[in-house]
Parts: sequence; C-alpha cells; structure tokens
Amino acid sequence: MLKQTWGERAREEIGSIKPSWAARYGWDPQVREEEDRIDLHIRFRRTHPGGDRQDRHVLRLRYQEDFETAGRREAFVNPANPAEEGPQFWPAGVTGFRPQDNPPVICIEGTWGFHSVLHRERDGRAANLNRLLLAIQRCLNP
Amino acid sequence: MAEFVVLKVITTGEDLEDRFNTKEALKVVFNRALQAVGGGANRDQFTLEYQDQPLDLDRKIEEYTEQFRWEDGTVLELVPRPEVI
Repeated sequence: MLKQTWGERAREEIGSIKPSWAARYGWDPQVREEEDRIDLHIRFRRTHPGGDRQDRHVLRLRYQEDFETAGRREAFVNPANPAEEGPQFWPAGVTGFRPQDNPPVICIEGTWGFHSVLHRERDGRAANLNRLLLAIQRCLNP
Repeated sequence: MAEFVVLKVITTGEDLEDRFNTKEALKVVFNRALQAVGGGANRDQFTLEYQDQPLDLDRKIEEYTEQFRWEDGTVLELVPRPEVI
C-alpha cells in the first residue's frame, strides 16, 4: 500500500469534519490550497452573555508538511477578507486564546501554539480536528 | 414501552449506531461510544449529550426514552470537554 502524502492526510482529516456539527454551528469549512500549504477556514459564532450580541470570527488553520507534529498553524482572519490576518480579528477574553502573544496562539491540543510553543512535550499525532473545533466552539460559547 | 431502542452517537471518531436494551443504564451507550475515540482511558474527557444537554450516565435508557420521546434513530453526541492547559 502506498504511503499517503502529508497533503492527502490533511485533506482526509479535513474531510472528516462531521457534517452535523458543521451545520449546527455554522462552521462552513472552506479550503484553499497552495503548493506548500492547505488552508482551512472555519466560521465561528460567539454569543455574548445575555444572548443579545453575536460576533462572527473566521479561523484559519494552516496545514503544512509538519502539521501532525508541529500542529495546525492558527490565525483569525478578517471575515470580509480572509487574506488579512492580525490580533484585531481575534476574539477577546476567551480562555485558552492568546491574541497578545507574538504570534497569537490558541492553547488547545491540535494547534501550532499548543504543540510548538506551549506544550512541546505533547504528541501532536494524537490530536483530532473535530475535537479541536468543538473545543474552540465551546471556549467561545461556554 | 419498547424493550430496545436504536441510538446513534456522533463522536469525534467513528460514529456509533446500535440497538440498546432500554433497561440498561446510559453508561452502556457511553462506554460503547468511547471505544470510537480511543477507549476507557479517555472517559473523563467526554460527556454524552442530547441536544446540547449533558446526560446522567447512571439513569436508565428507558427514563430518557420516556422523558424525551426517544425513538429508533435518535442522535446523541459524545462531546469532548475543552482541555485548556
């Protein structure tokens, strides 16, 4: 049996996103590919206490050759222009989110910040994309 | 009340669909679904939910089938607890 390339493994992982969760939470996963990367864009809604205000955020998870060990490189981007990224697009005051870091990181298993910065001892191969997305969903809406 | 009910459990791994004896405790469903995400070592990291509400694993399945009118094909979810270290 032929070994999969990193790109094939990344596409397989992205393809494993559960449709029922994507539909319920409005994730609307979008993929953009370039030669050395695969970018997955996920939409999140954040409802503030009281339920009268809702923010929308777009998370870009960048897959590169080392994504299984180094993690998926995380960045929040401009919902209106996904090519634009920066700490101003990060949700504020969310447990595990560190927009003030350089670069900003998310401290949840599966991200680059978790496996390459904050918890280098944790094996990234155990990470699971559905689990990561659900964790982010719940951190945004505790 | 039906003696058996077919439940589907969405997990972060393989989904589960199986027939369960309604006289058994819900932990039977939980334990079986855990196998899809790596087994019992992970049991503290997950909750079993129905429509975003955590379920009491010690209650009998028939209590929930009565309370929520569960029928064959009802969907539950095995949801990871967010782990921020």
